[in-house]
Amino acid sequence: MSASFSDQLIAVLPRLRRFARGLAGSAAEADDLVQAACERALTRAHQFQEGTRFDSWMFRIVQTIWIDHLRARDIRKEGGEDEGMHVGTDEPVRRVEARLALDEVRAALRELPGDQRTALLLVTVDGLSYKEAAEIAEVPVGTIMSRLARARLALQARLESGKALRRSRDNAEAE
Amino acid sequence: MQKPSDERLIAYLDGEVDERERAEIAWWLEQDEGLRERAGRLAENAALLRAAFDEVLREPLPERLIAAARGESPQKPQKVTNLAVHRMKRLLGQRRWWIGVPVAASIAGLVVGYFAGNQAGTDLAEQQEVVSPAGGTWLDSIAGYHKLFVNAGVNDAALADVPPTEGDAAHKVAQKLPPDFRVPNLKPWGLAFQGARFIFIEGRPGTQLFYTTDNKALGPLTVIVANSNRGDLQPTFARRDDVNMIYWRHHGHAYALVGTADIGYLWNIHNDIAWQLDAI
Repeated sequence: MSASFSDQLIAVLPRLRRFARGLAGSAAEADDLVQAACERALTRAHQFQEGTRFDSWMFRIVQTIWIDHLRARDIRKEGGEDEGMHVGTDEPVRRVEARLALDEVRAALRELPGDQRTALLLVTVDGLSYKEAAEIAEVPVGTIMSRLARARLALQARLESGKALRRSRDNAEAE
Repeated sequence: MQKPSDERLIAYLDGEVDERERAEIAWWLEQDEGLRERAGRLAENAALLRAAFDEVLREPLPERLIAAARGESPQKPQKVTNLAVHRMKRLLGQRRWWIGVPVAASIAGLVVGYFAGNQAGTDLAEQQEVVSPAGGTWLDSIAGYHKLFVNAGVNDAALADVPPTEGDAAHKVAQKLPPDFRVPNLKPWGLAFQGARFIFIEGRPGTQLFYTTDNKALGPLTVIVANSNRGDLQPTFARRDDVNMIYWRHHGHAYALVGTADIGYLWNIHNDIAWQLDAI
């Protein structure tokens, strides 16, 4: 395997881990997914076409393995654990609140259907264009656009309903 | 001209509409306060989503992944079921933190500001840039330049190298900037161009553009354009004290939008600037 191929792979690892974390929810499972993607990429390096985007190719591999994985395990999505949240007892309150808010966002994302989650992770989190995301997801651009819109609105609704729920709990406790 | 649907509004926020439609939606945003608020909330939630996952980029890479990428002694992915259950139980206990923790509507700003400001950067290289050994950083510098502009005021003649009153101000600014650059027109946001200053940031030349507005929620803004020999970088939020920033790199140039406006505003203005500069 050429050093440059591996170097490209290592360079894109942080983004692949972020994408996989969004898909899988759990850090350990996400890293398993990325590891499997690396291994598949190395065995299929000859299939990569020079001049095309390496990161898109790798995102597609991660996405494909994840779909295969879901099919194989017939997973019904449940809220996976999220290692992004480690609330230490000595953390300042501001930091705890911030972490909780981010945890809420991650939880809201996990509730979305897989195709919407993928669109959000590729476009909103990773900043890919609709066209690039469509190529990775192997769907038309219009499909990405509508998935993205549904996902953004659903995410917003979930976050706002979460806020409303907390407000009512706080009020109930205050009473 | 129909009011934009949610799908088109989101495509606009993502910079995925053509020039004609962009102008139409910008017109609607100017006219319709409800639509403007909706766009702001959508942009804010998008920023929050990015912040929620940007932490991953700053984590050290597990050795097993580096080894796998190099094709060295691959390890079988570990089964994590038991570990996951254990962690879930622990987290469920921690969820009690939710009770009594009010999350204000402005939490998005706090969260993004906290994480981006303290751990700014979206890739490993960026992390090296933001936290330099000397303690002085590019972001610190541009936040400092913004404060200088705000404190001095636009009437300080010594501050602006190119005042807006000069007939060829835009041309003079453009000479120091990337080819095809033009001073962003932020009038639709109520922001008036007040001049430019040529500066050095971390030893590299850059240009600071000043904008002011009567809208206190938006406040004065500065736009920074500088040369960069680093790779492209997606828009990233950062915060220094009460100054919010969004910065990105494109084709050898670094850009930053700096101000005290909330991140929703900054994100939308960034989209507008990026579109105008064709920087994304």
